[in-house]
Amino acid sequence: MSSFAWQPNEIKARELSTTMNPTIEAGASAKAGSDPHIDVGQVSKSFRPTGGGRGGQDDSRAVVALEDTSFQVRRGEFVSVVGPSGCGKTTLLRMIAGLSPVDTGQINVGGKRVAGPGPDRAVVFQHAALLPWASVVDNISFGLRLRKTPKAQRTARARDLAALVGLAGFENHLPGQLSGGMQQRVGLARALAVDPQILLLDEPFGALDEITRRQMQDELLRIWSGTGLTSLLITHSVDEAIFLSDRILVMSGRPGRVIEEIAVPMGRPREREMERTPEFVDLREHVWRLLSSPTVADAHD
Amino acid sequence: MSYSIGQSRSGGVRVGRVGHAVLRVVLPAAVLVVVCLAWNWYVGTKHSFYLATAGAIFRAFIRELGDGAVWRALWTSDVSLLAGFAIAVAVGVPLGLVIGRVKRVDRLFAPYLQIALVTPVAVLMPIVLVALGLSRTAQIVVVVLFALPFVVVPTRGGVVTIPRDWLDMASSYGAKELQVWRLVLLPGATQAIVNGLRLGFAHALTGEITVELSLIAIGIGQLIIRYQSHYQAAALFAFVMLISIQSIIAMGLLSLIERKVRRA
Repeated sequence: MSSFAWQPNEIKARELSTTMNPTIEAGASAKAGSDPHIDVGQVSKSFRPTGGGRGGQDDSRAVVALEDTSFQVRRGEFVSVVGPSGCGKTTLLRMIAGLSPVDTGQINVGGKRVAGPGPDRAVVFQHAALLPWASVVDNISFGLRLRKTPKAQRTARARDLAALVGLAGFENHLPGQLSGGMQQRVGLARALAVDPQILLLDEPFGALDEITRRQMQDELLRIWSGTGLTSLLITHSVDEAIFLSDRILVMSGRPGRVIEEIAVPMGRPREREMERTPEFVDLREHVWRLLSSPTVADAHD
Repeated sequence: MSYSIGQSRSGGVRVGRVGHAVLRVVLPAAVLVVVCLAWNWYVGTKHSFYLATAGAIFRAFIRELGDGAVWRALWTSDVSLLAGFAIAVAVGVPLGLVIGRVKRVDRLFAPYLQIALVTPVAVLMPIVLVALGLSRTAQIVVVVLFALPFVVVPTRGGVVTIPRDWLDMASSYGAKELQVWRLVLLPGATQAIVNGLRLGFAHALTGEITVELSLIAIGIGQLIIRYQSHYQAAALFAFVMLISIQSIIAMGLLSLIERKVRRA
């Protein structure tokens, strides 16, 4: 469990409405700079099955996706969340992104309560979520377009970012003409384009083959270390979590909760050779033991 | 005739761009020739007033191109057809978009849309005529009834099938509802909407001709009835050909619009 102590004023704020709003409400209190960048406090979330038609009011059929989950991410920290399928990892990320409201508990980002998506956070989606009719440049500049950035300016920025993620020469390609790895590069560039403070990565490399996946991890590290963004990565891959992160949150199966927080002992910059060091191997063993313990494995159906 | 069939064969054997182009033109042409030959043979065995040879139909077609009565009939019907189709589009596209976007509205309309798709609208025509008389308004209303469900349903489908990822992506960047429409929903649904327009046009035409053949004998319907009653088989078939060509042009225009919209 997380050993994180609650402050009374935060508990009060948690009792406020959980309705979604496209803005960030002022939080419980503006706090000092030493406070966590992302602060997830005793968050629970359940889903009612939607396919059943009239049974919507029946609470006994609700699936508890997340139960009493708490953790914090410091400014500039890279944290990974590992857990079995269905443990609510993606739900957690969606709630931090403001795409989905919490049932109980509260999430603060930069000291403010999350009540909807905000310009401080950018999501990299599992399947890239590119618009197929828009060119690489237009996809990258999507967020800037919403923010009414002048066309010349956003195109220039999108071209720079395309180059940064290794897509120079593909600026006018359509997503359908790109490989899965390249599409995910566009997704990453689109997130970086809006100059966020927090990068939320929802299993971005999950659908890629092993070789591309490792390339993308290297790329992500290279780009991330140049930005110092606070990052939260949802992943199935233990190796990926260890290789990329400062800290790993291991989650149990349904209902999901954080069962252990592990600091990754290796320094930066990370090299592939580190995967053969005793620290890495031991850590991998440890995480796998946690993931294959009975309570965790329950979520596999 | 063996000439064109031989050509298409050699086109198939030769692998190359020219070969494929030849195949694309020559094969359908060969099919047309074969159908015409079979038709002529069939007509020859029947000797019926209701049938005409392919040659006779073609000659009648040329004749009709210069016949003012034919163009007047087409125009009379086309006015109702276009008015009805325009109304069906003006109502159907927004309706389909809203139904596709708002779940509550979808639930409200879903059963009726299903019913509308499978109900033979032709049986409703007398009700419309009783209410509105043998008027152009009645005719237009019938066209709208025929076309509307086939515009609404594909349009709704186009919106509903937009991946949730795209919508999440848009709202994660703070897109407001109008921006979601402009940047995600409308471009994503364009193909489906145009399909709806095509289907709707085909059904509008069916409605137009059905009402003219059965209840309000003007325009296309009137001319068809006259040709039939005078056993002018060649003229009748030629006229139907003319209607088809007109529809093909309309479909082509819709495709053009689609390409324009996609590029924008």
